[in-house]
Amino acid sequence: MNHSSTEPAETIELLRYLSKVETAAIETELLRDYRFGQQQLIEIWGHACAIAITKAFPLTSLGKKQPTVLVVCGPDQNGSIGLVCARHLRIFEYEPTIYYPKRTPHTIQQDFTVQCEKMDIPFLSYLPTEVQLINDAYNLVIDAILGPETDHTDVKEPYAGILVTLKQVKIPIVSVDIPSGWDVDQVTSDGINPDVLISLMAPKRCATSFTGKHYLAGRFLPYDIQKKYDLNLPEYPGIDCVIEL
Amino acid sequence: MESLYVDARGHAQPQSNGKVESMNQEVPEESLRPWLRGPRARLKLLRLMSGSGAKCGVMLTRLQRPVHCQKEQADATASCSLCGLTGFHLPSTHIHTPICQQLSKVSTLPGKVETAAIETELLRDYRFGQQQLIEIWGHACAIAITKAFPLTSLAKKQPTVLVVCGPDQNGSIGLVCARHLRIFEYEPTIYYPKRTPNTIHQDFTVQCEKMDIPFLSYLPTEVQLINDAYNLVIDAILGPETDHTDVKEPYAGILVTLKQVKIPIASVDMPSGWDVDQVTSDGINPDVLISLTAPKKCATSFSGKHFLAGRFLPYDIQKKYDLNLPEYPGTDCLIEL
Repeated sequence: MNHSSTEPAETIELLRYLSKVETAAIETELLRDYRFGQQQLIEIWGHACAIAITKAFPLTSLGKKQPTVLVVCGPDQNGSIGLVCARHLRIFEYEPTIYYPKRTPHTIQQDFTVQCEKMDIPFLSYLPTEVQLINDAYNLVIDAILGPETDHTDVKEPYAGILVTLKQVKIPIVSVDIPSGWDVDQVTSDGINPDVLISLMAPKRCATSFTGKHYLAGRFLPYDIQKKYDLNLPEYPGIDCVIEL
Repeated sequence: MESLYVDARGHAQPQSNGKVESMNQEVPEESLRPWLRGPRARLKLLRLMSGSGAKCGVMLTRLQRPVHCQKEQADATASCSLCGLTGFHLPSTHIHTPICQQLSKVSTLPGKVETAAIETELLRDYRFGQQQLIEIWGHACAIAITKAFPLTSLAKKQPTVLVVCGPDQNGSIGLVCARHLRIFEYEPTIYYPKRTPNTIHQDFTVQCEKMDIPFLSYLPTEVQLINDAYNLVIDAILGPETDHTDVKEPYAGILVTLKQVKIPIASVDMPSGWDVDQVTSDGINPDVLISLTAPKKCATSFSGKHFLAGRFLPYDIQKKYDLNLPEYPGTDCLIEL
């Protein structure tokens, strides 16, 4: 189910949905040829994710007394994006709590962790397996566990266990870039089922059949890359860095 | 006419029988008397006011005597974050109430030393990266420019913008700002005379080049050429870290040119060539100032459009340096002061 961009009817250019290989290639080019920094990209993506969440779940719309949000962060880039997203949500007056079971020795990841700690964002030491506790304590869960770079067939602990827990929560789940555990290239039927998906840069192939709220976030891609990979991104409104697809 | 004497610390001293002239009848009479009696009551009135959305002009007092003492004048240069007016140098019918002075507290603007200290802490203790900070600031600057000079408001046929970038951090922020302006469909042109060997700055340069943003090889000294070709100039030459008494070439010459341009100038963080700690009378005179993180001391007398951009500062730093930043609206990363 491809979405068309806002072009006139004569040339309907379809929005490209990226495969795993293309996603990796674009990122390599951004870092190597366009000299973007990884820290810079993660900051851009995390900020855009936070904006998308404020659009999908405005502060006033949250059901519980406190605007609590659970952010589950994985070990790689997807997790770091979750950390930056949590930090910005704190600035936007949400109350994020982070569950970051496996901290990597990667310096950039560590820096993002310290930034969150210094914003007084609590870090959980374990995730309750009793799903009702999560349902009661938080308004929504942000799934920043696994991204397109992961091998979905080999999901290690503790993430496999976390995904099992997440499949059972009743509160909304928002996934960063792709729903964790999904195959980037095709639809997964037995993975987690988020209510909101925030695609970064361009949507991935597995999102073609996604039926929930779908946002595209991260407005920085140079035109040359957009043309080279034929992305046909939609026009972002005004100065927004997020657009609903 | 009965009036109150408002002393330099903002405490109301009743001169006669303590009646306050009220220009706005919204606030009930019962709350006026408790207000006169102490800090707790002031806070109560503050809650009342913020609840009703009342502006500081709700209650006006009239000074019994002119402000002579220097200390009073110094305190009087605070500006109210509610209504934006500054100090006692105002028409006599609108003088700030103690509530406004409580709210404003802009007198703790960081000078050169505090600005450097905040940045060091951000990098060392809070583990922000320089690249990350410059990206945040550059993006926020670009947003400020779109608010101050919307695409539709630009007079020339093409939405051209000249971005003049200096050698240090201020220049890199200009590069990122130019990149985002390109994404927002402006047509920036960069003049970046002295490229540093700093890797991060080089990266930002490549990012701009790859967005097809033209780089000028020289800046015309003929000012009319600049006036004709561009809608505005973004001054990202020198920041708070520079020694304003020792401005080297080519920047001294560029500043001379900029002083003569007729199109609007928007300065990043502070007007290039100004002294961070005090007002400079003979520097460039921008129409728009985009302060990053917190306004600097020299901005107290800035009379043009003033934005505060860059919404990321951890609360601990805000408290430690007593910054009292205003509340940003919604999810915006900038606010007009």
